[in-house]
Amino acid sequence: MDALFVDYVDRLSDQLLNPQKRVFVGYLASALVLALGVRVFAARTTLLRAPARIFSAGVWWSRSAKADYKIAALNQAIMMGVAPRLISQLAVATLLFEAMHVWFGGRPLVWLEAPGWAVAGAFTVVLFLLDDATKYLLHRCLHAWPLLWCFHKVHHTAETMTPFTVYRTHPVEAVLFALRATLVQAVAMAAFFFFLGDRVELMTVFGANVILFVFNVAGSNLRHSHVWISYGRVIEHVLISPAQHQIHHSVDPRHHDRNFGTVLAIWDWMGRSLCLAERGHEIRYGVTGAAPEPHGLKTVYLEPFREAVAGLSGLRCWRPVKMFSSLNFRPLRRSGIAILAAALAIVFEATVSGASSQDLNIYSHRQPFLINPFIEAYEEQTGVTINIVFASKGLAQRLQAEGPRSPADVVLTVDIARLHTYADKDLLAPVESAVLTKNIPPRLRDPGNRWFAFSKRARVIVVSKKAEDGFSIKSYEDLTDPKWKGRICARPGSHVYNRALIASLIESRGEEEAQAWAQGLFDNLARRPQGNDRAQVKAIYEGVCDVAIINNYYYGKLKRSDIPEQREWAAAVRLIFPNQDGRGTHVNISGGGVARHSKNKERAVHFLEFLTSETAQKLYGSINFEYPVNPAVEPSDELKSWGTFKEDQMPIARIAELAPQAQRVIDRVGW
Amino acid sequence: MSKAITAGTAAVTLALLSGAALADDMVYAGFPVTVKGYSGSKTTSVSYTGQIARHVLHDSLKKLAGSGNGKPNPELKAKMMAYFGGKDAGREIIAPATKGPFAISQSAVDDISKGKNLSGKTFEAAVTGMPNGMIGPELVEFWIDKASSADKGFDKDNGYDYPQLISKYVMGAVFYNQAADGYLDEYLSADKKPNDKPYKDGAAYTGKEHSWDEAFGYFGTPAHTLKLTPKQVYGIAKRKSEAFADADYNKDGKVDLRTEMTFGPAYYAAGFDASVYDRSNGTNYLHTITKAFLDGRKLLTDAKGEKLTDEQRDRLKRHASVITQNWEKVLAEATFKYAGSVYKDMVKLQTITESNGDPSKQFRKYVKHWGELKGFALALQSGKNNLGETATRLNRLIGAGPLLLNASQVVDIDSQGNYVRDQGPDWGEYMLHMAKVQKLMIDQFGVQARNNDVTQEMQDLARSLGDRSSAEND
Repeated sequence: MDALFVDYVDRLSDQLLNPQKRVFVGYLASALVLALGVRVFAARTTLLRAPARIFSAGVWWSRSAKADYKIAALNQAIMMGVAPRLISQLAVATLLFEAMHVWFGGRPLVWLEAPGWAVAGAFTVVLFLLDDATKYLLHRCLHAWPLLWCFHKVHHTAETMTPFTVYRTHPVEAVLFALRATLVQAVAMAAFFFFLGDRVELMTVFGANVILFVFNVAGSNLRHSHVWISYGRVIEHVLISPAQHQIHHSVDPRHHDRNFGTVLAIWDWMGRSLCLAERGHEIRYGVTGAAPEPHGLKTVYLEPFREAVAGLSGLRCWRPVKMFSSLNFRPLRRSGIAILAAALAIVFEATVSGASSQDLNIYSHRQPFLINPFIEAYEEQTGVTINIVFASKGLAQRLQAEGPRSPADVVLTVDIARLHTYADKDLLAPVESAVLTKNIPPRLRDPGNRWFAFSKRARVIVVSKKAEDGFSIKSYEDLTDPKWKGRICARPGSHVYNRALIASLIESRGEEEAQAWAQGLFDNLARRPQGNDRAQVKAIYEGVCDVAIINNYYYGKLKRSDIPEQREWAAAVRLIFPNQDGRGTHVNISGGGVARHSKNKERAVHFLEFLTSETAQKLYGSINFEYPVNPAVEPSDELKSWGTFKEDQMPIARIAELAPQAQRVIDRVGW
Repeated sequence: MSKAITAGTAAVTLALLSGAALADDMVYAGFPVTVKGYSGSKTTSVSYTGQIARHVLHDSLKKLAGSGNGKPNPELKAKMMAYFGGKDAGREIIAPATKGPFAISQSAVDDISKGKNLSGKTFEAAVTGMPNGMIGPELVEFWIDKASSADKGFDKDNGYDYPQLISKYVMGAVFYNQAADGYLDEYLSADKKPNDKPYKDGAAYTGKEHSWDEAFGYFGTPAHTLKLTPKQVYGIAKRKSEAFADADYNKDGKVDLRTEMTFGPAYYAAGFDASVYDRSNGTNYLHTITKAFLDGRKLLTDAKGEKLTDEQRDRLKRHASVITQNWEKVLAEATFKYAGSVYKDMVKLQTITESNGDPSKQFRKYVKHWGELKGFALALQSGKNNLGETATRLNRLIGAGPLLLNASQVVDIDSQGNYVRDQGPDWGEYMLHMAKVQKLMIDQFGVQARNNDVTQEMQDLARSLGDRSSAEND
């Protein structure tokens, strides 16, 4: 308790001793000098009489001023408890700083050649501008929104003003200002530190922001005083003079909602709330129609809450001015319910454990929305309950770690490389099934019957509709033509889709030619390889490049997307099935197998067989624009509308065999 | 003048004599034989040469791992295996070796202890942070195989620095694991290696004394550590000329690796302490750990060869707890530090590549730092406690390989031992992973030294902006 009290006294005295604070004794002294100057030179008071006028008891010991002192002392204690519970500027800055890595694809440092003082200067100025502008905005909101005015009004009930009136603030408003400072400082810190690195620092004088130091030395404390100082018409369009702020406190209706600015007047100028100081104008401070006891602590601290509640119930605060429309909570309520529903759905989804031994357990790399329709169809057909563990990566490691204890019956994944991983790690059981053998062509299943393809995806070329010479592209090989230099987009070569394509090139043309092709394509790239297939189409839409290689279903997803913007991306390109005059378009697969340690192998095989049935094969086309592997099933109407094509007949297993070789090609090229 | 010199000399002499009088209490040496009925000729019960031999094997293995020429080299692999798994006589000490005036007494591993290897003492749990669930010795052997055919231990295509991976991991899987999970844990039970019996027949030390000494040996700090500053202990590991006098405690003109040298774990503890000794976040890992070892050893000596009471064992366990907790924090500090290094390397690499510069030199540093990060992250998981979710998060954030300049990353190892790569996370996302690794180290281990803190400058900047605890109004 003693320590708490000492801390309190320390903080209170810090207000006078810390140059970062408004009422630092040095600033008070400079204000006094200015006030004396005004009294002696402008008001023609003698130097001996001037102090008596400045320190008049009627001002400094009025009921209003005494309330200021009490509020300052009480607020210090309140804020000691509240401030540590508010989110810190560092926490917000760190969040922003981290998010910027994703937004900007890393951390591109800029202005590397700039000297340290320039960086510090830029940071100091930007921070000041942001700080001053947001103070203006918040201050304006405090006047404009009835609910906020109930609290801000406390400051305006001051009828005499001293520099300590700056502390006449309701704690609710203090919290709002603290959060504003948090946000502003966090944005400035995160942005500058992210782009300019550790060269960023604040330019200070005695630890205070240099600009605010100048502002305070120049008599900021006279804003809350009875000393009238005007800067003149021109300067008062740029800087708020003490007189302008005194006008802000005036009870005269002509002065209401004027001069919200702190340091700069430009915000008021731009916001049409600027009021210039008039010579010799008498001003009375306060609020018209104030409560009977505006300086009582009960009124100061509690009355705003009562009024706020009354205001919410339909009654009005004293002086509301509409600037923005009132808050409408209806959409918030709607979105809240939606969020709650989504959270419940997630919780529900997450509770799929506790499966019975009669259930079928699937480990799936395929996303739930893609696989759920199959599950539902199978469950309906058989009455079997299916449990799914979904993960984009790491399922093979999990299966490996679980060993014979694994509950998995079926593994579903995409791409031969990933299927091969399961087979290579001996995580799949060989399956003997006449149905699978009949429904899946030999080149689309493992010679050892451990994995099976259930759908096919073609690696197609998309070309911007604006690129008229795009019609000339007939094959993957055409993309190495120098005329495409700087016009092709691609995801990284090591991605399994591209590596499989290179494996198919090695198979058909040999490693040397495959490397020449990869090099030629790489040399023609418009940008560093990045993003997924969808991002390549977007890049074409944005004019970054004209050509890209993608899996066909991405085109379908974009074309039928619920997001209008994505439909525009798809509309910007046309599809080419390459190598129709030669070996055919490269295809890859999605597929799966029976987990080696499945306790329910028979059921697992039955499920795989179901995936090759006409019902399921049609689903692949309708849900995800993939081609059926079962020759007896036709592609979906949507797929047929894109045209038929000849596919590369290379055995899919061969792609897995050639993958290490393909990776070496990619490494040598640096794609 | 002459009187002044005499007075000064007397003062210095007095100070040195006082120091000598205190020396015994501050040095981990000379503890007497307490074994009942001991009939041998030894006058001290302190012995941890087997552990020092393993430090030497580790240092030598690291050196060998960086000596390949980029082509398959069965001879090099066999030599590395001799230092990892072999026990044969005749192995020379490849590192640490004499360096200029920093003369080292021993030149052969057998000069320290015979028949020792590392593989037999490597943590045998599955390493979940790498593909295929290899256990510790299998992972090191896998890396040894790769290192033998790499160019100076560097695998450019996959982004691995094998000397760093092997070294940092062994620091955890052998030294930290043996101490924290063995000698300072199960060996402190009442029945295991009791104090009223010799460690083995005819030994000059009791079961508990030797177990404690062996843990101390794995920490790898000079016996006279408490007479040195962390900076001096750090300098000894670097074999700097000026560090020779600090190391040569018995003033015989040579550094005895058995008692006077700094090895891996102590080197890092000293390094962190030295890096922040003058700051508010100063740490004292080295002296805290060493003092706990010393206090525990005094307790054992004071037991005079009797079986430890429960109260004595509880006190000993408290010392052990201080050691393991601080040791774990040192590993967490190292993980933190190298996550920061990797992050900073990535910023530099991005700057270089965006200006079409040659990133090869910076890439080499990046891979080295990533190897250190990965090695230490795996080492941290080699203690007696399963780190559970923390380990899972750590392994997922770091991945099985660094994100490479072509946006790929090793994601698996196939049954032939080939690395399998796939498209990795975006560059910025992986940078963010490093920042998250640092946050994880703060949240879970309370690291304080925080070398290479990614957001340190922003924290300093936040401080310069002041607090918001006052309510002001305009």
